[in-house]
Amino acid sequence: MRKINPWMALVVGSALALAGCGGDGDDGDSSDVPLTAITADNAAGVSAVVYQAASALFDVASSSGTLPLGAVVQSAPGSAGGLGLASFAARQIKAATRRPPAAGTGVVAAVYEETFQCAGGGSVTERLNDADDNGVESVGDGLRLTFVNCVEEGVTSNGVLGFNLTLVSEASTGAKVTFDNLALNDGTDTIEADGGFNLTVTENTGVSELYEIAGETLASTLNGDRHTITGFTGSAASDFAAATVTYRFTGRVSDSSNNISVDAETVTPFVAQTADDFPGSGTLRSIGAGNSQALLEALSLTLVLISVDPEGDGSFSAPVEWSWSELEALAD
Amino acid sequence: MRERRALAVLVGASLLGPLAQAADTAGTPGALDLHLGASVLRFDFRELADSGEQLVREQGVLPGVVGGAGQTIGRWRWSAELSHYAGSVQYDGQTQSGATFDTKTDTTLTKIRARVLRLLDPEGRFAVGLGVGYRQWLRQIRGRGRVSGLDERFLAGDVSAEARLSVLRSEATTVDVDLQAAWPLQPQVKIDFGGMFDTRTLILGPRPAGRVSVPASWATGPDSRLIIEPGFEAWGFGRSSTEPLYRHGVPAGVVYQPQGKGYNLDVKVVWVQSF
Repeated sequence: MRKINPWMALVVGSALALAGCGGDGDDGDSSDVPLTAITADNAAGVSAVVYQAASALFDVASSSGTLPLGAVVQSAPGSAGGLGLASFAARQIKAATRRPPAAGTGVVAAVYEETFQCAGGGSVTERLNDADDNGVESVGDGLRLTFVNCVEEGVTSNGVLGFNLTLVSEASTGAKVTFDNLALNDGTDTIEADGGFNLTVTENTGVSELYEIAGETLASTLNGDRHTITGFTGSAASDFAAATVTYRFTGRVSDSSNNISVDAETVTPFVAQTADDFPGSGTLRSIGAGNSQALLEALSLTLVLISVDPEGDGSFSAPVEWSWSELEALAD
Repeated sequence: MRERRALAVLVGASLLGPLAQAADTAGTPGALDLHLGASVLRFDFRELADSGEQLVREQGVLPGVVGGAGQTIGRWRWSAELSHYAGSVQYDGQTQSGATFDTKTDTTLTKIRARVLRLLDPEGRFAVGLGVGYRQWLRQIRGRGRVSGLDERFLAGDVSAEARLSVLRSEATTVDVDLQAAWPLQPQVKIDFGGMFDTRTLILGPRPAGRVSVPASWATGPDSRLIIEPGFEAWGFGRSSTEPLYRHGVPAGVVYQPQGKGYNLDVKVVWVQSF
């Protein structure tokens, strides 16, 4: 499986500050990093960090583990695992809402709990707080999934993932997602997360899938590195027929280990083929101190242009051509 | 390694045994016929879901070589042939998630067959018999971008009922119709996930196979003939059962091989020398 880069952690940890109940959230929160002045020297590095943060939100890059058919591997559908919290949460909420309802265990039959075996070993215990006591998952209900060495799609999960359902329809499911000491391990890396975000999953089975995410703060810890994104929104739309993923991101990206903090937005969304490493089109703008800016423009599956406006006056330098792989290496 | 040894034994048996197949249409009675030639095979394989929906299609032309031996003793005809094809074919399929995916598949197909025919009439115009065969198909689906490669090695023996009807027979020229109906024995596939999961071997469901070919033979000398043999083969295998899948020895899910159907066209051009 692809080595998880430090920015994957941006996806993961949220939110000690958001939830306000997952800890004090103040231990080196990288959101404290002041906005970085973007210069010709750091424009590529800043762009690399922001791009990876944006693409990692929905675990777009997680299909590195995808296999072709051939043999059918039922343990690795979709993104074949991956540690992006948005995609992990989406997979779990879809699975939970498709399971048959468990028998009531509470006196008033408002709490249902059942333990399921995971495909690769371990278990997940699902606890439904059936707020309206209608026996099924519905808006206002709470779902709590407790993972114990649960192996699914090549990822071992421990900890708690919670959903407060905000939308339940035939096509869409929405929830406020919370993580409580959730730890994901893909055999190479471990990500630990606390906190949460709002997630909406809209699915047209076999045709398309849309993840939408919004949150105040999302922090992660990966191999000791802590990163934060704040005030963020994003979406990833998968077109299964065209085999493309289109994704957008807006928010502040802070990396305390590299002392980088900038605001970022996709000016035009990135479009990536499922089978390719990098998007073939899309533009990402990073805005730092004094309105200094860097512009990343995807030229092709292999090339990208970086231009910089260090003065923030709208005058950009001549674009410098980078390969995607060179740019990716800058963020590691 | 075990498959290689088995293949070597079979190759040896093919080349050293007093048998021949494509040379069936040639030959002086009692003489040992050796044949060698080239072939092209239009490979067309489809993988199907349980519902019958097509999941994957692989098509392409594979060059190959054929060789073997045969001998007629009285009203019996023994023959054996080894064929080997290698090349790349187009893969049009999907990833495990169902996303459209195309790439190339490096394909190696090795077959060995031996058979014995009983000539039912003195002129040898009609013959029936039994055969045995062994097939190895090495399928290496190339990775591209984030999609990893997948290697599969299919192995199957078979037993077959054979018939040959001579539709034209003159001093210099013969044209036959060859029919074969085969039942696979122990078809299996060994799957190498490129390290993503532990290698797994699955037993495949049997699926009858059939082949029809029309070898045409021309005398080129007192003891030699040229044979051109177009053929069509329908083959395949049934879905395997669903089996556990492991990653570094730890359970990581399940895996199965979907049913597969192949329809191959081939043309062989061989030179036969009788001794």
